[in-house]
Amino acid sequence: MSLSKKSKKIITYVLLALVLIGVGGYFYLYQSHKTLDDMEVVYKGSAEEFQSVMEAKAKTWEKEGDKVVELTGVITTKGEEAISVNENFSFQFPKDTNIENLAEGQKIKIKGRIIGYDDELLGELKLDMATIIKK
Amino acid sequence: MKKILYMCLFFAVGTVTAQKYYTKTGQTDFKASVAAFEPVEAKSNSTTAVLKVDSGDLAALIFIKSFHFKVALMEEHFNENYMDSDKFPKATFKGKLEGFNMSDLSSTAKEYNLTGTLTVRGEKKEIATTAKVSKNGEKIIIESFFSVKPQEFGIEIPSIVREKIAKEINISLNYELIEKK
Repeated sequence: MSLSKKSKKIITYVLLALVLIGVGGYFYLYQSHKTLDDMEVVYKGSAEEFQSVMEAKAKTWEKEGDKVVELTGVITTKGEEAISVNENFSFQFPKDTNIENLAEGQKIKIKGRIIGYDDELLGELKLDMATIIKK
Repeated sequence: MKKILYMCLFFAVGTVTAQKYYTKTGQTDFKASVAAFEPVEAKSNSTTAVLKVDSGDLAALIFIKSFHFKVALMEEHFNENYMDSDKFPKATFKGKLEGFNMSDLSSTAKEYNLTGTLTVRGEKKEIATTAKVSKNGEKIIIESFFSVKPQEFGIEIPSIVREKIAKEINISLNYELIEKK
């Protein structure tokens, strides 16, 4: 059975469309995770001055999607996968980040995504996806 | 003299009651997977938990946004369509390890009844489960597990994905607490 030129063309287009839908669908379903670069930076500066800004704005930021802050301050506590900067800003590093070379008392410039303001238990702002800019 | 004695007593009691253990990076997992479909599960490594050693009171707070899924789109839908994380950014648990006594702890896990109130999306639910508590050096390790249903928190699962999401959501937690100084 031979197909007319016209129907061959139609079949080719339909197949092409299906492939495109498939590929597009795959990329839509398995799109990559957002990085800090995709998010709005709402503050850059000293951790000390950020405290009052944060208390006033935290609730609004929590409701407006992903926000990034970049702070310069001092490491006050160091855990296995997180550090606190100026006591009230808890930065969590992505899994498998090596933070062994960080020490308490050290100055740091760091950025991260706000996940929320814990005003109930420890009174701190929590951030994840932490990236060190300068030690 | 009596005054000083009272004051000493007051401070002594004060320091004892204030003894707390905490973590900022507790791990909370949830699994709502159904076999043969894409796994619906996420992990958060940033749960804050505080244990009052004298009473066994346990409080935990988790930001919904901190749950990390393998599939980014699933994470987006979880936050936007199911959990409304912009409107209800956190989930909390306030409860008690019954009969908790610091001196009973050892490296072998001891089981305690854990009861309390879980608040998700502003809806409260009483939880009763057990928790395994052990001591590892200076750390207190708490492991527990319980199940909840989405509708208990007013979460509606659209019929199109209903088959792909388990009816019971299994939550497991693993917190390594250190002393709060």
